[in-house]
Amino acid sequence: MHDRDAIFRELRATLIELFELDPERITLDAQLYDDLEIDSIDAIDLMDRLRRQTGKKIASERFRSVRTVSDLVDTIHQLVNEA
Amino acid sequence: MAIAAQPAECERLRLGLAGALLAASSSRLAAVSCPRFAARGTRPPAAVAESHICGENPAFLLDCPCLGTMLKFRPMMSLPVRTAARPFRDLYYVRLATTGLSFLLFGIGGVLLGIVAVPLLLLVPGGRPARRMRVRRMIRVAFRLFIGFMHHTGAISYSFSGAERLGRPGQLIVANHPSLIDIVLLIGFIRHAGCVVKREAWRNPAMVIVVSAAGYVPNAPTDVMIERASELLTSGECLIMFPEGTRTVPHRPAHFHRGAASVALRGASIVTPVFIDVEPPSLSKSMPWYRLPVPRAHFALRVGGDIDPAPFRTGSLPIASRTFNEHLVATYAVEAGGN
Repeated sequence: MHDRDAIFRELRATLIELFELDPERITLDAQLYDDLEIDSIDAIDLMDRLRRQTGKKIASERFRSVRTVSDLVDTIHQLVNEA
Repeated sequence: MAIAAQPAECERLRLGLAGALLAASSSRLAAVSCPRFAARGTRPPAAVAESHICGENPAFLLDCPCLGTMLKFRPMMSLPVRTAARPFRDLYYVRLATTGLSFLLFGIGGVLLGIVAVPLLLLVPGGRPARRMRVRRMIRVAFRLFIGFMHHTGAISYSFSGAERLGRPGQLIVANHPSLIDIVLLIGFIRHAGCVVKREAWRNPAMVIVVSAAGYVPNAPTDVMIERASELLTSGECLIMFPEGTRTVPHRPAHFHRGAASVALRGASIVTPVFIDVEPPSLSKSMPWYRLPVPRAHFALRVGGDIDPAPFRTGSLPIASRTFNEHLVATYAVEAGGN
């Protein structure tokens, strides 16, 4: 999963499974907290899952600047394409 | 308390509910019909009571905090007519002095523990877990002394039922948080318990030594807290958490943060609720320590039935932790509704 589209598709599947969200609510500019009601505790569960999927740990400082699904896709993209 | 029951005379009094009920018991009034109060029996909730004494048929109107409604009750016999009775204060000034002294000793004790006792204790050889347990034992003894002091000097009274069921390996103890000394009472009566403590404790030079040597868990950042708290439980320690996060207003419905539920599902082998009831409310967040209730506060701690987190561990953790959190909130709501 190296291009953004693939990351988004996979992330969407993860969000649907973890939070039982309607697929149509998960758009690139959806706000994680305001639109999808993913709070700080959910974020921890989400990061656990992403760590298992990507094999890389997202630092929580890095996650704190994430606001939208698109931000999250960017963060994962950077992470998987780092050295 | 001045109560006049002259015919044709109508008087409006504002008085503490505790005082009103004391008058009620001394003049054999009908029992109050508040289910919560009736269930508890002896300790009335403190609140401002509006009492209307009109003519020969006096009635008390009580603003009951647990029902949020006005309750009405009538005396079974006429009230004694008193114009300037001495108010019942339950040794207010004695309690003020002993309460102040208790906290002074607590402060001094805390500093001594931090800069003398714990560093000395850490010199005793042994691995990290053994040292940690020694420090916890010392904290427990210190807290027991503090509670004993408050109890024997009459600053408070307390009861703790079911304490023997606390302190099991992998047990997560959750409690509501009405007062300043909840954690002191819990730690004082539970062997080897760890707890999640406000992060500010790590910024206080005396406290940081104690809380880190005891292996307590700072409550922030949340992800680190959840990880460490679940690890401790998985490794077989017993942990205390206040899901409300901070001291709360007495008699309000509980608002539990999901952190405790998440920790429970990640690491606890059993979850045990403790119900803390302070009547009249005392040492709560909304009142300074020197605002003492009349009569003196009674701290009642009751250990509830064990909750097995295993059946909740289905599906995704975010959904499961929401369900578990709702279960905890419901458990407390049932308890507050008059058990």
